[in-house]
Amino acid sequence: MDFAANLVREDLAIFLQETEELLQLLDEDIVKLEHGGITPELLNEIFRAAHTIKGSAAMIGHQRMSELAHAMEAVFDELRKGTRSVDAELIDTLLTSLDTLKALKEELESSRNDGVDISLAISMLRKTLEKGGASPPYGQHLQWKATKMLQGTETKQKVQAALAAGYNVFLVTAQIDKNSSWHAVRCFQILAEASSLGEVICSVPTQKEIEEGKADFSIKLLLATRAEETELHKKISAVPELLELRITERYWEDEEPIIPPTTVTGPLQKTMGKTRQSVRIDIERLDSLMEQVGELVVNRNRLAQLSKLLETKYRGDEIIDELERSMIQTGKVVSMLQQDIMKIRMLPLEIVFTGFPRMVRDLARKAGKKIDFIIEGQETEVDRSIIEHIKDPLVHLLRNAVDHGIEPPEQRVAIGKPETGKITLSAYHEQNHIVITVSDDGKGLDPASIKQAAVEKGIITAEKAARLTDTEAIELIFVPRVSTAQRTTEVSGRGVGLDVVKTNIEALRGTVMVSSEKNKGTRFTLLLPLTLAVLSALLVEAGGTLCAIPLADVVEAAKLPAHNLKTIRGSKVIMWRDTVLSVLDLTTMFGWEKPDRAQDGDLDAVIVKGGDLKACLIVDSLKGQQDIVLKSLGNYLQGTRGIAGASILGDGNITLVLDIATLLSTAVGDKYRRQEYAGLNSRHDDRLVKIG
Amino acid sequence: MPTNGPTNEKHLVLFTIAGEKYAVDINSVYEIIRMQPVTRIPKAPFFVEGIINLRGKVVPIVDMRKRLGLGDIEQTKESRIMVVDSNGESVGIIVDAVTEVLRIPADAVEPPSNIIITTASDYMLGIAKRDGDMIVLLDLNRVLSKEDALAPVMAGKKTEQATSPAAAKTKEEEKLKATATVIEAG
Repeated sequence: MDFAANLVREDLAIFLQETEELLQLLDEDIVKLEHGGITPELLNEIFRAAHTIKGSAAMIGHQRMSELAHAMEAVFDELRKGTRSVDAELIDTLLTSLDTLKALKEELESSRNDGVDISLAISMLRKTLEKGGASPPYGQHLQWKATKMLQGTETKQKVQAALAAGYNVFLVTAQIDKNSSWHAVRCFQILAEASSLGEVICSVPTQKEIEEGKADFSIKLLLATRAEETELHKKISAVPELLELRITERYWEDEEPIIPPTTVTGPLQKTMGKTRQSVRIDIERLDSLMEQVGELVVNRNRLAQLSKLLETKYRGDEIIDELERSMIQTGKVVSMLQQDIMKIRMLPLEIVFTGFPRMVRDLARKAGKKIDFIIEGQETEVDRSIIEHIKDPLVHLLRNAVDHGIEPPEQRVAIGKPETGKITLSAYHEQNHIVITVSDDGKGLDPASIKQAAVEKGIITAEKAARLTDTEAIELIFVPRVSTAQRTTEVSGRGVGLDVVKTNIEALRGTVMVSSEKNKGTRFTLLLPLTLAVLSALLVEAGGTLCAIPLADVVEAAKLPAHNLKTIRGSKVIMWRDTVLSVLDLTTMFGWEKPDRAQDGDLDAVIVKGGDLKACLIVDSLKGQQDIVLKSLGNYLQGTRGIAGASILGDGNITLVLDIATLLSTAVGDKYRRQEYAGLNSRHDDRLVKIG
Repeated sequence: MPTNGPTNEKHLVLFTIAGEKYAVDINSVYEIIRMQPVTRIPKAPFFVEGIINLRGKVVPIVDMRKRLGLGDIEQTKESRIMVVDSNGESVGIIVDAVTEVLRIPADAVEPPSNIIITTASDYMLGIAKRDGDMIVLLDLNRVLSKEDALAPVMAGKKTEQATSPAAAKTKEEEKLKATATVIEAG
C-alpha cells in the first residue's frame, strides 16, 4: 500500500479519526449544496475540508487519496469563485468521489488492499472541470515566501480586514527541536492548532510545502483569531518537540488605524466556535461503570436500611448520629454520581440522523422525485441503548416515505401540489419519552386498498373490512402479512415490512402510531422511553415470588370484588369500566400451585396492556411502585417466555420483571394468525374483546 | 478439561450427589456458598431451581439431582451451591455436599467405560479411580448446556419426571387456547 515509510500507528489513528470527521462533514455539506444552501461559509467549509484531507493524506503518503481530494478541491474552488453553478450532475460527481474517498479510508482502516480504484471519480471530476473552465494551478494562492509574507500587499489587506472585523492578529514563530525526525509533522500540527483557533492568513512554510516535505525546523505564521494570546500559546505549546515559541501581536508597525466595522465575516466566525473539549471512552467501560453505579445504589439503599435499624436500637448514641449524617451525605453523592453516569450515556440523535440527508437524496434521485428533507431536533439526547436500535426502523420509514409516499413531480403538479415534496424527520422530548416523527406530504395511505389487501390475504373477512373506519384500516399496515401483500401485488405500493418497524420499536418498549390523509400525507410517530437502564415498575406478589410489572404496561391497579368475576364457557371474565376483560391469574399462568382465592371479598388485580391486548391480572398482593434496574437472566435462562429479566431490590431480594406483551400473547394467542381479526376493535374501543 | 501445572496432574473439587462421588476441575469453580433462598422462575427447565442474587449478580441455580435424574432434592446442612463456569457464564449447582479438593495424576482418569454408555456418559469427561472409589468427572459445559436443557439426562425411570413439566405446559397452553376461542366466539 502507498504509505510514507516512517508512519507510526498513532499518527495513522489521528489521521483516520480526523478524516472520518471531515468526510462526514463533506457528506452533509454536499447534500446541503444541492438544496440551495449555497453560502460562502458553506463553500469555504467544504473547500477547507477537502483541502485538509488532501494535505494530511499527502503527509502520510497516501497518493490516491491525496490525488482524489485534490481533484475535488479544484471543483470546490470553482464553486467558491462562482465560476460554476451547482446541478444534480455535479452533486452526483462529488458524491461519487466522496464515496471513493470513504472507500480509500476504509481500506486504510482495515489495513487491507482492496485496490480501490479512483480513476472513475477522477475522470468524472476532470470532465466536470473541462466543461466549466480550467482549474487554477494547484495551491497557487498559497505561494508565499518569507519576505512576501511580511510585505506582500495581499497579506496586508487580509490582516487589515481581519483587524477591522475585530480579530486579533498574531505572528507566531516556532522553533522545532533539531533532533526531531518529525519536524514536518510538528509544523503541520502547529498549523492545525493555530487554525483551530482562527484563520491562518499565511505561513512559511505553507501547508503545501510541508506536504511536499519542504519544511524546515521552524515555522512562521500569521493568525487571525478571537482568542487571546495566552490561549493560543497554550494550544501551540502542546505540540511536542517545541524548542521555542514566540507570539507577537501585529507584525508591522505602520498599519493605519482602521474603523472597526460591525460585521464579522462568515468563515472566520465559523472557525471560532468549533473548539470543543471531549474525551473518547470505550463503550464497554461505560457500561461497566453504569452497572457498578447501579450496584452502588442498591448497596446504598441497604446501608440506609441498616442504619435506620441501628438508629431505632441505639437511639441517641453519638456514633449513630454521626453514622446517619454520613449516610445522608453518601446518599447524595451516590445519587449525583448516578445522574451523571446516566447523562454520559446520553447521546444526541444527530449520530443516527447524520447519514439520512444523503440517503434520502440518493433514494429520491433514483426514484426521479424531488424532495426537501428537513431534520428537526437532532440535538435531542437519548440513551445509547436506544440509539443503537433506532436507526433501522427510521431508515425503513424514510425509505417508505420516499418510495411510496412522495409522488413523482408531474403527478404532484397535476393535483396542484408544489413539485418538490417534503419529508420531515423531527425529534423532541415529551415528559419521560422521546417522540420521533417521520412525516411526508405525499399521497397518503389508501384505506380502501389496504382493506382489499387484508381481505385478499384472509386476514379479515369482507364483512369485517366493510365495518372498519379509515383509521382502523390504516392501522392494518402494521399487520405482518398485509404489508407483504402490498409489496408483492403492488396494490397500493405502500407499507413494505412495516410490521418489522413495529416489532423493533416495541422491543425498545416504545410504540408506533400512524396517521394519514389522502393526498395530504402520512405521519408516523414513534414514542420511545428515555432510557432502558432504569424503569419504573409496579411490584406485585404471585405464588410467593415478587414480580415487577413495568409501569408502561399498567393501565390500573385495583381491588376488584370477587363476585364480579363471571364465567363464560369455563373462562373467567370481568366487567371493567363497561369493558369485558379476560381474567388471568398470574400464579396459574406460571404453572405454579393453584392459589386459594377467596370467593367473596376483594381480589388484588392489575389491568395490564401489552401489544394490542388488555387483560386483568389477578395477583396475591400489590406491593407498590419502585424504580428498578433490569438485569438479564443470562444466556442460560434467556428466552423464558413472559419474563423480561430480573432485578435486585434494595434489600437484596430478587424480583422477576414481567414481559406483559409476551405473557398476554401466549395466553390469548397471536390474534394476527387467526382468521378473524378480533383485536382490531380493542385498539380503538380500549377493549380486549366485545361480547354480545 | 485443562490440566494444572506441568506435572500433568488434575486438580479437582469433589462433591457428592445422592451418595455418588462427582468431581469438576477446580479452575471452573468460582466459589462455594451455603444454601440460600432461591427465586423460582416460571416455565424454566424443570431442573432449574431459579435464580439468586450473588453480590448484585443474577445467577441461575441448577439442581444437579434433578439434572442427573437422581431423585428429589433433600436439602441438609451439608448442601451447597457451587458457582461454576459453564460456557463462560456463572451457574450455581446444588450438590449434597462438597467433600474435598484433591490432585490426582492425569492418567488415573479413564474414559467412561463402554459398558455405561448411556445418555449420561455424554456428560462425563471420564472416571477417576482412587482407593477403589469411582469418581465421575463431569463435563460442566455439556451437563449445563442450554441446548439440550429439556432433554432428560438418563433414560429410564426418571424420564417421566423429565417430561411431565413439558406436558403440563402443553396442557396449560391448550387450556389458554380454549379460553381464547371462547373469547372470540363471544
